[in-house]
Amino acid sequence: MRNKTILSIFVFVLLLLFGTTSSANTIVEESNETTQETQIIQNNGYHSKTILELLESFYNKTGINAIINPKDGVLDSHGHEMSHFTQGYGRIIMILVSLVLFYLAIKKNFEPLLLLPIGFGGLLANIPIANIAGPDGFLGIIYGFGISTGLFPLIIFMGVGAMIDFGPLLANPKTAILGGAAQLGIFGALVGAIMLSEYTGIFTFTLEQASAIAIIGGADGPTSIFIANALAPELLGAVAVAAYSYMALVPVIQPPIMRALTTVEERKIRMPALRKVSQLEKIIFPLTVLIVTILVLPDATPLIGALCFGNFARESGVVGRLSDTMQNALINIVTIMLGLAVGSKLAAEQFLVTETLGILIIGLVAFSLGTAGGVIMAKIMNKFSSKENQINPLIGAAGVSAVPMSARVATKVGQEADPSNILLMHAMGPNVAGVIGSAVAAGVLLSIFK
Amino acid sequence: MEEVNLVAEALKFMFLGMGIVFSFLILLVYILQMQAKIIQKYFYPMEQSKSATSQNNTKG
Repeated sequence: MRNKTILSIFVFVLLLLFGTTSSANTIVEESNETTQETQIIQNNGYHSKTILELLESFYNKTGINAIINPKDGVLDSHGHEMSHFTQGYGRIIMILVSLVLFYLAIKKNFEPLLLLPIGFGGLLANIPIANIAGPDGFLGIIYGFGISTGLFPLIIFMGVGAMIDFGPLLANPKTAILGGAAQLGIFGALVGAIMLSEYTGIFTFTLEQASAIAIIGGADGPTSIFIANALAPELLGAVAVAAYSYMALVPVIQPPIMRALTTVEERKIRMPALRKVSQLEKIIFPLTVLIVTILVLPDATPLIGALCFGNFARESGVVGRLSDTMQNALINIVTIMLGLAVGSKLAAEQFLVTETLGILIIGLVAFSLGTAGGVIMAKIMNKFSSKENQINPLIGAAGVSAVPMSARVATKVGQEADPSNILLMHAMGPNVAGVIGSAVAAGVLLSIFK
Repeated sequence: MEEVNLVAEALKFMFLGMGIVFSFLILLVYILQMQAKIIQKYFYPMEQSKSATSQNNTKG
């Protein structure tokens, strides 16, 4: 009983203490506010508003009003004036595009790790008034420090390097040639894009823009973003969405082309088992690649250098923690921000243009050409190699990077012809060579325009 | 400004690009084959003992 009384007195005193301090705070704050208010009144001539006026001014700030009644002089994230269409229906269409991306990511499971953040970034960027994608909005800030500097794609490449096992390539180095042939997709699409814009007149692409679009054929998201940002930042949103969508569609796009270009006999070709690759070879490999890049094409060293660093950390075997961070935590963090920032470029005034249609068409052509290039190159190589060293042409299709999806597709198509023939490890060789190949192709394009 | 034939320009890019990609990878293939030979010839015994110890480490 006595304890209870003491306790209640203690609580009372405590409340009293806190009460006085907090009320003192509020008094200070109130006096601050009143001085500020008096200042505002003096500056702006604030007058008393009726509840109707307050409601009306609030309505003017709602999203409904901003979409229904577009105003003149509203600026987009680049500081250009927005047309009435992009302020109204444009936003609604773009929000629908974002919803389609959600559908593809969730229901169809197409590259959900990227399409989901990209879709949400697009949703946020199309909110009127809040200006989230503007230079002071949070998406704008992420875009500013991560994408326009080219930083995020490089960090992703580091993680990719830490994830990739180059063993299959080291065991059978000549499959690297297939990864080169698949880059035909990039340059073929470049020519195609220029021809489209020259001869049809529907689209007008400059050489820079055509190059940024064609790199979609490299089937490599970070490289596409890196190049699009360097050569044609205005196309970034559409290029990134097209690149990731087509990468997700690899199992749909590639098999018909692969079947059309090969006979059943060729698809049944068995390849000799890969030799065991020593640890030392794997450790030296990233350094070798980097040295060759430094000598031949320094322009590709940001991409290849990041890739080699990640792989070096992986294979060295002594910095397991760093390699683990790069291939998990770091790449995940950057993927979130990269996705949102790329999505912020899904603004109506940039996406709802005929060029986007062109980008989607050329991207598809680039993918198909790359697949065909790899398969045909494998057939050419078979003409020149001995009976025992034949290559199954299906693994050529894995030369478009898209690690490891296209290698899996090659395996699957191979098993349709001969269920006991597992091509996966053989296909990983051209697959990882494709990553290097598209980074080299990117370096060539950069070196032309720099 | 001089008139530029963009298609011809793009074709030139294609030859340059594919040429460099191929020569890069062919160079890499030769270097890797050479490297593999050298490593297998001179370092392989050492390498085997090394990988054995590292395997022990991961197990322990």
